[in-house]
This record gives sequence, C-alpha cells and structure tokens, in this order.
Amino acid sequence: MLRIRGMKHVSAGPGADVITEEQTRTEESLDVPWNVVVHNDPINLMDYVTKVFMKVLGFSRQKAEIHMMEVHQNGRSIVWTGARERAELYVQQLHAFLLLTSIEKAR
Amino acid sequence: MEIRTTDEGWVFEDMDPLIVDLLRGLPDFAATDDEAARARIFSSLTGGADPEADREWREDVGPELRALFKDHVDVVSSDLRTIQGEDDAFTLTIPLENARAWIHTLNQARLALGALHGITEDDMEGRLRQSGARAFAIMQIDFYGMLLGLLLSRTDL
Repeated sequence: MLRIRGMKHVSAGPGADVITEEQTRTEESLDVPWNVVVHNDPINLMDYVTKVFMKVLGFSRQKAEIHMMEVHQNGRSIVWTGARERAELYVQQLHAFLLLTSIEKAR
Repeated sequence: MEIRTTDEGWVFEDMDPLIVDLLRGLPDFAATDDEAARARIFSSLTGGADPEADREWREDVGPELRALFKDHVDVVSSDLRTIQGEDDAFTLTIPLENARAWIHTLNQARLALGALHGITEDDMEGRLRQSGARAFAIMQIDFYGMLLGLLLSRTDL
C-alpha cells in the first residue's frame, strides 16, 4: 500500500492501493514553482522509462519518448513544473517505479 | 531455455542450472542491504540540495516504498519456489497477474547490481573490457533486462 504525501485523489503506483493525507507546507514551498527532474541512469531500460512516464504523468507515447530520450542524451529531463505538493506526489510515484527523480526550484 | 507465452502468463522450460541460479538469486539481489544499492533504490527528494527535506522524505516515504517493494519481492520469491525439474530441464511459470511484481523486482535487482558494482553507461554499452565479478554482474543485469523486456512487452504498468 502506497501512502501519498500532500495530495488527494491520486492514481496508484505499480499494483499499489493509495491512501491520501494532508500535509502542512510553508509559504515559500507553496509559492515557488517546482520542477520534477528525472535523471539518467545506465540501467533502466528505455522502454520501461517510456511506459512509466505514460503511466505516472499521463504522457502520450510520443511525448514520453521525447522526455525519455532527453534523459538519455542530456542526463536529465524536466517532466513537470508546478506546486510543490503535486511535484512531491510525482516524485514519490516515480520513485515507486525506481526512476532517479528529484525536485528543484523552477527558475 | 525455451519461453512460451500462454493466456495465463509465461512458461520457462528447459532451463539449465545456471539460469535457475540466476533466477533464484533475484530476490537477494533486489533486497540487498548494500549501502550504495539502498541509496539508489531509495533515492532522495532533492538529491542533497535540501538535507532536511531529504531526511523528511526518507522518514515519510521510505517505509511505504520498502513495504511496496517487499510485496513485489515476496511475489517473485513465491513463484520461484514453484520451479520444478532436475538436471538440465527446470521449468518456471510466471502468472500474468504477477507480471508487475516481476518487472519491478527484475528492475530493482538490476539497479542494485549496478550500484553495487558501480556500473556505468560505457559498461552497459560494451565499450569497456570487463572481467571477474564485474563482468558477471553485467551479464546478470543483461539477463534480468532480457526477462524484464519480455514481460514488459505484454504488460501495462
């Protein structure tokens, strides 16, 4: 069972049920847009990464493949930008699929 | 080894002992306690940019992910206990409903092995000459990757 931080009504990770919970955030965290960044690793299969992007982020196959190739060729790809809570939700789901993912403040 | 796809899943037939050993080692590699492997499997929220946020992440999210990953490994371990045969002809059946657990565990083992041996892009693309344990680890990663790709080809995550 996968507990999601800070968001309601979310889709599950791989075969997981989901419980949601509210979490207090600081003003700064809420104000700043955050990037969800997927980093390259030498192990994950390209087709696997593409399918994870489609599953977690709702990308079309074409968009998922563009981001997958960006990760592969440039070492990273920003796959989403927005509020911190949702950014953390995406990171948690991508971590559940073992993609090397982090958040950073958007410039 | 021959692989048959059926309506119910996959049947791996005529597996020799080496293949069986590689498969039976899958749960241990996936769930290794090695520090580098653990760091890769349970990666941080900010990549070290905000240590406090990373610490909270480990405390809040870590237990949930550990439980989820253990569930996957348990499913695979259970399937592995059904391997039948003797000499050079072992058989394993992977039910379709267990495909996600297998995909995850194969991937987790690959990542753990990669971290354990410091495998790089050049290693995986065969640009470096390897030998010994490191070469064997790359072979394991490739073998698990072949199986992962096979299961992924007919499974929605």
